[in-house]
Amino acid sequence: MVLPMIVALSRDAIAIVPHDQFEGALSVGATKWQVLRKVVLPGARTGIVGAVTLATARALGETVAVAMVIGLNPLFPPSLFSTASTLASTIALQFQDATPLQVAALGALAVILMTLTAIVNWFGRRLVRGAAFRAGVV
Amino acid sequence: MSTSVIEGIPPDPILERRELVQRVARRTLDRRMLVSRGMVGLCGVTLLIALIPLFAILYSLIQKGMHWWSIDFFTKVPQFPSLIDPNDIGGISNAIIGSLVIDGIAALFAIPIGVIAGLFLAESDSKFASALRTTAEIMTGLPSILLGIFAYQMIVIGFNEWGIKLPGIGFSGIAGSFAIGVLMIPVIMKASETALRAVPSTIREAGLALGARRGIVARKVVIPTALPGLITAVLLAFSRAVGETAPILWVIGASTMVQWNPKMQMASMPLAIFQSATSPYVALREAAWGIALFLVCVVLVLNLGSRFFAAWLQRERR
Amino acid sequence: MVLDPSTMVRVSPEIQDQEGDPRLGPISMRFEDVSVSFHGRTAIRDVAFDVPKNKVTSLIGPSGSGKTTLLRAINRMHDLTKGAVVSGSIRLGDTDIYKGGIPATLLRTRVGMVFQRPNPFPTMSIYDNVVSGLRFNGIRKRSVLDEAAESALIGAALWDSVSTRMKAHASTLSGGEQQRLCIARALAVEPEVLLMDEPTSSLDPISMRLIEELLSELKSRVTIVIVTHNMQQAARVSDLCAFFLMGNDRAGEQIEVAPTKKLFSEPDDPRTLDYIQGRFG
Repeated sequence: MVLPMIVALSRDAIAIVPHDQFEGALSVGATKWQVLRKVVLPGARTGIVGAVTLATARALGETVAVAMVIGLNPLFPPSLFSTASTLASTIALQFQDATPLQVAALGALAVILMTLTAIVNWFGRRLVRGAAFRAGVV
Repeated sequence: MSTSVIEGIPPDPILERRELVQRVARRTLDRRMLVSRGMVGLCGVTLLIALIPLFAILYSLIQKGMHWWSIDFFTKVPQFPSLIDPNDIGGISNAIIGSLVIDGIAALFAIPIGVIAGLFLAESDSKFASALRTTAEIMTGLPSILLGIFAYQMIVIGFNEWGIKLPGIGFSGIAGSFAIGVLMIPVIMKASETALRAVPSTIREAGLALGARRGIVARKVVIPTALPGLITAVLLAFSRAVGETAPILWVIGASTMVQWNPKMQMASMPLAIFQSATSPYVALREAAWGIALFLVCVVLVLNLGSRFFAAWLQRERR
Repeated sequence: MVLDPSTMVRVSPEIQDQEGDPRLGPISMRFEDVSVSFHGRTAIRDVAFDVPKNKVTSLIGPSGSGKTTLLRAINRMHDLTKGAVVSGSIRLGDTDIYKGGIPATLLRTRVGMVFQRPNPFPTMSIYDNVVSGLRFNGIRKRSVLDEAAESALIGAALWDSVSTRMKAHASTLSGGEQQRLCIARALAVEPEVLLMDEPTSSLDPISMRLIEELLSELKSRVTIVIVTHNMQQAARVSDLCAFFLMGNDRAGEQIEVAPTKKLFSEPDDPRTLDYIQGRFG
C-alpha cells in the first residue's frame, strides 16, 4: 500500500534535481546511467530518504488492511509467518468488546501510536522539505 | 607516445592528454553504453513490476465482484444466507444510504470550516497561522483509527470533564460523521491553502486597490479565482473520506435496515466490506468483492470527476 | 598592406571572405546548410560558415535568433529533446557530427560546453567536479587525474584559489568561481572545441572581465564558440563574428559572418549595421 506513495514522492525528489546538472554531466561525455548514478540520485538522496520515512509513517498507522490479515497475537511472534499484532490493528480489533481496563490500555496504545507517527512524519517532512528548499523550489 | 613531429621539441602535455582521453574513452565506450541502456531498461521494468499490484487488484475486483452487481444488490437490505439459498445475501442499500448520510454530514461541516481555515492560512502570516498549519500537517499524518477513538469518547460516550459537557449520543451515524469530518478538515485546509496561494497576488492587490475590505476581496475575488483548485481539493478529500474504515469501525454501531436518521446506528460501505469479508458465511465473504468494486468505482468517479470538472471550469474561464 | 596583430602577418585589407580567411587560419568546424526544427517548427535555418581553429567565434544577435539552438546542436544536446530535427551537416574535422557514426557520448569529449548559469555538481568536492569528465570516460589513475585537474584549473585561472581546498564542496565558491570551475571541468577532458552559452550573463562585472581575459589565453588550447547577447563583449573577445536575426517566418537566419573588426566597423549587410548602431547609439 505504501509502494505508490514511495514511487510518487521519489519521483518528485528526483524531478527536483535541476536539469542544468543533468546537462552538465552529459556535456563532459557521461552516459545516461552515469549521470543518474553520480549526479541525479546523489542529489535526490535526501528527498528519497524523506519519501521512505513518510511512507513508513503511513505504514505504521495502517489499520484495517493489516487487521484483516494479521490475526491477533498478544505474544511476540516467533516467526515472520505466524500471527502477530500491530499497534493499530490491536486497537481496531479489541476495542469493541473491551472492558474499561482494556479500554484504558488501548488508549495507552493509541497515545504511543500517535507519538510514534507524529515523530516519524516530522522527520520525513523535514527531509522532503529540506531537499525541495535546497533545490530552490519551495 | 610523443606527439611532437619535430625532434628536439618536448611533447605537449595537453595534446598527450587529449589523445589519452580519446583512447580510453573509445575503449570503454561500448561497455558504458551497454550498462547505461541495461540499467535504464531495468528502471522501466521495475516500474512495470510496481504497477502489478494495482492491476492485480483491479482484475480481482472486476472478476470476483462484477457478478454480484444486480438491481437487488443495490436496492435490498442485507440478510443472512439461508439454507434454501446460500447465495442470497440481499443487498447493500443500507450501506449505500449510510455512507451517503455519514459522509454527507461530514462534508457539510468539514468543507466550510476547512476552506475558511485554508483562506486564513493563505492570507495571514502570523505565528498563530504557522502553529495552525503545523497542527494541520500533523493531523493529516495521524492514523485514522485515533480519530475513531476520539469520536467514540466525544460523541458516543459523551464528555463531562473540564467544564465541557457533551451528551453521549451512543452509537450513531453522527459519531461517524464527526470522525470523518475531523479527518477531512486538515486535509481540506492544507489543499485549500495551496489553491488559494496560487492566486497571483496582483489580483488580490487589484481588489484592495479598488477600496474593498479584505473580507470582500477574499469572497468576491480570491475564492472564485481559486475555485477549480478548491473543488479539486474538496473532491479529493471527500473521495478519501468515503473509503475510510478505521474511524467508523466501532462508533456507528450496526444496522441492517436502511436508516436515514443520523442519531441512530447506521451502516456504511467500507464497514460493510470489512464485516462481509470477515464473516463466517462463504457467500458474504465473496460478496465483499462486489461491495468493494462498487466503492472503488465511486472513488474513481469522484477522483476523475474532480479533475474533469476543474479542467472544464478552467476552460469556461478563458 | 596592413599588419594583423593576431597572426603577425601582412595581409591585404581587401581579403574579407569568411571562408579560409588567411588571417583566421585553418578550420575547426564547418556548417553546411544547417537547420534545427522542433516538432516541425524551424528555429534556425540555412547556417553556413566555418569556425576557425584556435580562435574565438562569437554568435550574436537579438533573442529568438536561434544562436543558442545552433550552439546546442554542436554537442548534440538536442538529442535529448523529442521532436528536434537537425538537418544539414556540421563537420568537426572530417567527421560529420550527426551522420559520421560517432556516438554523442564520445563527441562530447571533443566538444565541451559551459552553460549560462554555473552548474557544478553540488554533491561533489571541487576536485571531484573537475575530474568528473575524466572519471565518466573511464580514466581512473590518480596521477593522471591530478595532473589533468591542475592543468584545467590553471587554464581556468582558479588554481591559485582552490589548490589548497580541493576537497571543499563546490557550493563554497562564489558565482564567478563556480563558473570558472565549470570551465575547468570542461577543459579537463581536453576537448578540441569549447562551446559557451552566454557564460557571463549571470555573473558580476568583475567575474565577467576575468572570464573574458581567460578566453584570449584559452584559445591557444581550444577553439571557442561563444554565444553572447552583449555586443561589447563580442567586440572585445572574438576573432570571428556571426550575426543572426529572427526572420519573418519566426526562424533564425544567418545574416553575416565576418572577422570582428570588419563586422563592427564596415558590415556588408545593412541589418548588421542597424543592430550594431542600435546598441552603440
